[in-house]
Parts: sequence; C-alpha cells; structure tokens
Amino acid sequence: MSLNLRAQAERELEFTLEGEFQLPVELVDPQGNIINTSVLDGSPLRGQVLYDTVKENPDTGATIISNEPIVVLRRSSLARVPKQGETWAVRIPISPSTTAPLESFTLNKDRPPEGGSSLGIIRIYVVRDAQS
Amino acid sequence: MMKFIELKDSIICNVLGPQAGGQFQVVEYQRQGKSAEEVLNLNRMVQVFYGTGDFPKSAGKPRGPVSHDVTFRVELTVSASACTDLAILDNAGSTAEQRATALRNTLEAGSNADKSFDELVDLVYQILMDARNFDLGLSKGAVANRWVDRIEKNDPLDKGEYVLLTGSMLLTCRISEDLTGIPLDTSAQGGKIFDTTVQVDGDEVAKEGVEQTAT
Repeated sequence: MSLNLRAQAERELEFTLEGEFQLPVELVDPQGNIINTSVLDGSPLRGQVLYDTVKENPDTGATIISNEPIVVLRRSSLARVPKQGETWAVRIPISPSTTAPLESFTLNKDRPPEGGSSLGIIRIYVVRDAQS
Repeated sequence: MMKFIELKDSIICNVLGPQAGGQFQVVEYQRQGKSAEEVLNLNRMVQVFYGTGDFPKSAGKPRGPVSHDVTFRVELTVSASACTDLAILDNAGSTAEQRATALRNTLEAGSNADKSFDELVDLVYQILMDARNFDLGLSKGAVANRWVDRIEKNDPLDKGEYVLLTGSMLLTCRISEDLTGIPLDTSAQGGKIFDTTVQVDGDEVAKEGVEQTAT
C-alpha cells in the first residue's frame, strides 16, 4: 500500500533534516538525561541548525540579522519532545561543521517550540547563556 | 549661564559620576541608539539631561532672580542575558542530577534584566536623594528643594541573546536663575548710542536727555 503524502514527507525528513545539511545535536531534558541518539536507528542525533535569524528591529522597523540559532529536528527521532515551559539544554556545534565542538544553549522560554505532529518536525529556538 | 546648566553638570560630575562605584556608567546627553552589549550587566547606563522647566508668572519681571523648577530626565538602560551553569552542562563527566540542577537554576534574560533595572533605580534614587547631596554638588543653598516626581519602567525588548530594559526617573529641582541679559556687542561700531530724550509736545525747552555710549 502506498504512503499518503504526509507520511511520505515525514519519511523524507531523513534526507531533508538528517541528510547532507545535518549537524550533530544533543538535547538535555529537565531531568538531566542526555538525548543524543535517534530512537529510529540508534545513530547520532542530527538535525538542521540555522545560526542566524532574520528579524525586524522593533525600534526602526529595519530588517536585521540576529545571532539567535534555530534547531530543527525530526520528532520521530526523539525519545522525548521538548514542550513549552520546560527547561532544556541544546548543544550544537559552534560552527557549521560536523566536527566542531558543541556549545550549550537553553530553550528560549519566550518562543516556545514550533511544529506540531503534522509535518513531523520540531523547531526549537535557543538562547546563549552566560555562566551563572 | 543659566543655573540649570551648572546643576546638570554638577549632578553628573559631582554626584552620580563619583558615586557610581563601578555599578553603572553616566552619560550627560540623550543618546539616540544604545546596543544591548554596550549596557550589559554593570555597564548599565544612566543618562541625565534637561527635560523641562517651569517658571511662576512673576518670572516675567525685568530683574532677577527668578524661581526655576527644573525637571531633569534620568534615563536608565540595562541589558542582561540568560545564565546557567555552563560548566556543568559542558562537562562530559557531569551526572544527570547535576545537569538537572543546573537547568532548574537557569535564570531567564528577562528576569535578570528586571532585577538589574530595579537595582539601578535603587542606586540612583539613593544617591540623588541622599541628604548629603541636597545641593546636588553645588554650593550650599543653591538648590532650594529637589524631589523625584516619578519613576517609569518600559516593556522589555528582545535583542537576540539579550533583553534590553529601559525606563526613566524625573528629578525636579527648585533653583534660582539670575537675569543677566544678553551681553552687548561693543565691537567695530564703537559702541551704541542710547537717546533718552524726553519729548514734551510743544515745549522745545523741556527736552532733556543724555546721550550715552555703551561701554
């Protein structure tokens, strides 16, 4: 039986999110558990990382590029999915390279994770923290 | 020079500047743009500039001094980032419990910025209203009274990894301004002549007057 388009699109996330543009991602859930492998096949957790966000400057209305990373992951790869209000750490490479060291960020509580089950993705907004 | 200019300089150079103690920076004019990095943490900024002045109706008299209620705008700007125990999160040898504790103790940027702003209000208010600063750095008796009319906090602004928070304090001081008039121009034309002749209709003899040259 052929898959419907939704299921097909979800399967193709293996290529669009976890394919050529993939970068390693690690998540730390509120209980301190590290999630760094995919539950689908046990391979290292991978996703898409965008390091800059295009925003509008609220003071001037001009378009600015802001250094606010966005991480997009395949929901079915995750043992647990971050929810709004929870405090997670997200570790991503400091530069767009699969071998770059990982840097820790935390979930942006002012921008909850986006992407429901419809498209099979979760888009996570993170903030850089200072050492407390 | 009007006294309010002296007073503003004194607030900055003799009161807020020396007593900041590294807790904030003081700027003596209205900056148009401030980046969040520039005012991060203890680099929070206090800008002092003349806002408005109120004079009573009697201030229209030809000779001074006149009472001047000067209102200075004291603009406060802070920014902060979120903070967490990165040493634990980045440590491969940390335990789940340690990581969970680090995450629980994470402080959001908005919360840090709010605390920083309240602290700045406290510092600036206590310095300006300290009894020892009654004359705001001027000579004794120069300031008849001073009070903080109002403090206002604005909505936080998201600036990437930082949150910027601004607000203002209105400081009103009652001082006296002397009326010195505009200095006379005694250059090339060799002075001005003032004719103070009193003209009496039909009476040629009654003309009186003194020709004066301004020096």
